[in-house]
Amino acid sequence: MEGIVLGQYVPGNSFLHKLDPRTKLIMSAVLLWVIFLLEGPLEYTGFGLFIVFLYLLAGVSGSFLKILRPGLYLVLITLIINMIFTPGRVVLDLGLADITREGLIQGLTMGFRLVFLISMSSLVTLTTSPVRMTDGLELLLKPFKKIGVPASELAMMMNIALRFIPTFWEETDKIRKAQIARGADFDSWNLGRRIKYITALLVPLFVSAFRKADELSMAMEARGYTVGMERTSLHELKMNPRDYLVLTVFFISVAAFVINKYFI
Amino acid sequence: MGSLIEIQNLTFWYGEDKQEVPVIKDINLSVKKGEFIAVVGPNGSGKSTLIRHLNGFLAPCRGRVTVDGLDTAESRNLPVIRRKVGMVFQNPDTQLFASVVEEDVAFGVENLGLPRAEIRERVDSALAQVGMLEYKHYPPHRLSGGQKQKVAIAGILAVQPECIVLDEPTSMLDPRGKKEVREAVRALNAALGITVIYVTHDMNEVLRCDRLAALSGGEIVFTGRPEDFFADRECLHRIGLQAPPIKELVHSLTEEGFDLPRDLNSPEELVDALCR
Repeated sequence: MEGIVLGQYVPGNSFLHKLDPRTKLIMSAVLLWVIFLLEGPLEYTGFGLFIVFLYLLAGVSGSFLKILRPGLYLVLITLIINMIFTPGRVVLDLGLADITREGLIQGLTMGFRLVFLISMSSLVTLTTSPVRMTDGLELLLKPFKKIGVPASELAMMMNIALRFIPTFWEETDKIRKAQIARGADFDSWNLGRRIKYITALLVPLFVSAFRKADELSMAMEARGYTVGMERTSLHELKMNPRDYLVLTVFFISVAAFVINKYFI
Repeated sequence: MGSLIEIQNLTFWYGEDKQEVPVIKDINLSVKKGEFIAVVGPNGSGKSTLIRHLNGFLAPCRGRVTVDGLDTAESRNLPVIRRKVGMVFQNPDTQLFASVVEEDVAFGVENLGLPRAEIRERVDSALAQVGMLEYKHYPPHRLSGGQKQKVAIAGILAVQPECIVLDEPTSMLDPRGKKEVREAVRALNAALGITVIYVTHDMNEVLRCDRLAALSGGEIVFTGRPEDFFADRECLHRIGLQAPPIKELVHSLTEEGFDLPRDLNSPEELVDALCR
């Protein structure tokens, strides 16, 4: 549970851990875009190896499979649907459905893209603590404050949401047990009854959430918080020479890739 | 010592309707600087409503509340008042909202817009004062209830208030947590001279306060030394409170003809007095 709770963060001391969250956020955003530019088996293999390299570098390779598991069904369904429903040259005749060559390629492409997307974006959360992440997001959004993006409020909301996930897990568990003691059967095979019991779980949970939000806002107000105020911060995020170096090398490589692909 | 908080003829009722029964009726109370004052009373006696006036959460319907001369009804005074009067609430879980202890303690100071070095210094010293410095990198949900309340107190301390109001801070804690919090609060009052207003319905907690105010049905029915309060058994009975066991014991012994002083607050003191 702790793993889910802390946004999958794996504490560590690797090169990727030490990078400023802003560097990581910018790079991953660009890389997510690069994923959609990939063409052909060579480029896909190259990118796949690059991701594997990053996971090894961060020392979080153990979490790779854990992160992919929830997405695996999505990948499989994408693969199957694409294989069957794309018209083209039939490779394998299964009677009801035919697997086409185009479908196979399409399916694999989509599947790999999904795997890349999941593993790439997880890499940021795996190597950045939630606090640093929200600080980083706040600073990245700061320029947009002028056009009315409430950067610090958004960061505050994200911080509170992360903080209260474990509290709500506990609360859910407590209510669930209380309802079981009153005869609720959450494992019932009867779908109608199951929905009824889930309601008996969700309603108290929402009530308690609202009550907590009320108390929390009072505690925050008592400590002098008002929305839209200028605040200072305990921790400072500092872009190190390392970050500038990484960003420079990164952007040159991406530019080289794009220019090579489309302009030469 | 001058007075810090002045409550004059405070009357308050919830809702707009003036015909409604007031929750608080015509209360007068003045809190001196550096005082440790306990506010007691049964459930529904208006304790929480009363103290919510002290930092301007509620504005009086009639009467006046001033903190260091600043009227709580004026909204432009509120930032200053909330810096002077810190508040700790009942539920430790809904007061801590950062994902790391030190971040939470820093919250109030960050709101003051102080430079980073000063924030760091204040956070560390506030945590040290409540004895929680070694937990500063912990996530709050891994702490015990008593520890959470101490972190909440540290968060208030870091702002360097003149007064801390605690609204039943121990009612959701186990005996050990209660003791930890009580001792931390007492230390603040003694060592730093911070004014403490301590709301509780646990009579064991008020034995060592300087002064006690008892509420019943929205009115103050007693103010004075805790010994005098517990000696007035008729008054205690009327508002539905019971003296702590040690006071009951001393009372019974006195009725049996023992000559005992009234300010005995622990079994040890009682033993000493009996053996003298």
